Amino acid sequence: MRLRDNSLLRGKNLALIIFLAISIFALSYNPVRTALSQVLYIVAPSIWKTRAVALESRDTFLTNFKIKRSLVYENTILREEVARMQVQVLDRNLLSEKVLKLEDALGRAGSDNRVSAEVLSSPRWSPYDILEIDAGTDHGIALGDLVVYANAGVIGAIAEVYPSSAKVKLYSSPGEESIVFIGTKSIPASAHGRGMGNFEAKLPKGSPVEKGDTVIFPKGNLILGVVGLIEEEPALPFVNVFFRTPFNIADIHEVEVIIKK
Amino acid sequence: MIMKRVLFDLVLLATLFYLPWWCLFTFVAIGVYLFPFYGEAIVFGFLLDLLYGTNILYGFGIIGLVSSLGIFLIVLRIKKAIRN
Repeated sequence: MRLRDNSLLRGKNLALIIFLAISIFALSYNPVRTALSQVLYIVAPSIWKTRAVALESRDTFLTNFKIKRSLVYENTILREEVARMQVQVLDRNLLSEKVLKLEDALGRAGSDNRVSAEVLSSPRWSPYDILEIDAGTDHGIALGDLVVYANAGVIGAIAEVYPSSAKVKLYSSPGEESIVFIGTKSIPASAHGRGMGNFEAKLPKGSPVEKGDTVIFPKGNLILGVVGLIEEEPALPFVNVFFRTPFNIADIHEVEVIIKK
Repeated sequence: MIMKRVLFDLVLLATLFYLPWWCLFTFVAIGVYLFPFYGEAIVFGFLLDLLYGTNILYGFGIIGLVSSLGIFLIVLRIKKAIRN
């Protein structure tokens, strides 16, 4: 009996090792991984959409229990915020018109094709800094296309694409390196991703960079982040600049993909 | 026992899609503790990688697989130590 148990356990262990080896091969070899993901992505987007509906229903349900006074207070604050943002948008529209006129005059009219997509899953749900969106090859999206939020903030690029969905690799993923321009003087630097919309870059000591400076992604002149902290150590010849996206990556619901013409 | 195990597998499958990743790992640990030789743990790690990862990322896109294997081995050891 004991001998039978031992051989059964050995058989299970062997099966586990074989499955592990096959899994590692399937995950490391891109064509196999893409094919398997494609199968999974036939059902995944519709399941994630039901999750979004469930979360919305939960929020609506919880709102019913909020105290009336706090809701009124929140409403007042939100109204003020909307008014402030409307003015900012007006200002932005004026600037945008000026830029377009200038680009036209210089013969560099920069219009691009954009596809709007809903976010199915954000980094909050996975151990990876990845966004899943509900647009794919059927909508003209291809590998490497840039993904922007709120018309101006670049967040990442398409890493995997399926017929009706795609995975977006965020530039803030740990280990990711991007060339950026920091501050009003556009100091070039190499930004390293730190996860969830956070970045770190090293600049020579004495560089004219301040808290609140914008960080620009050269491809398409898009905003990548805003400087939040500058760390200086007397013994080191450089300063560490920490910056993050101006919005919370985990709260993004819709993005735009800049597709190639 | 088999029925319970299948039901637990379905819960894990729902967790994979509906709850954050750390919930899946928590349930995987519970599964390894409750059921004998819970090999499904590795399958769910594999599915997590397929669903959310890419192999051009850090960890070569096998974080789910490696973590679930780690949880499987550690909880199995703990289980053995407790039951002896």
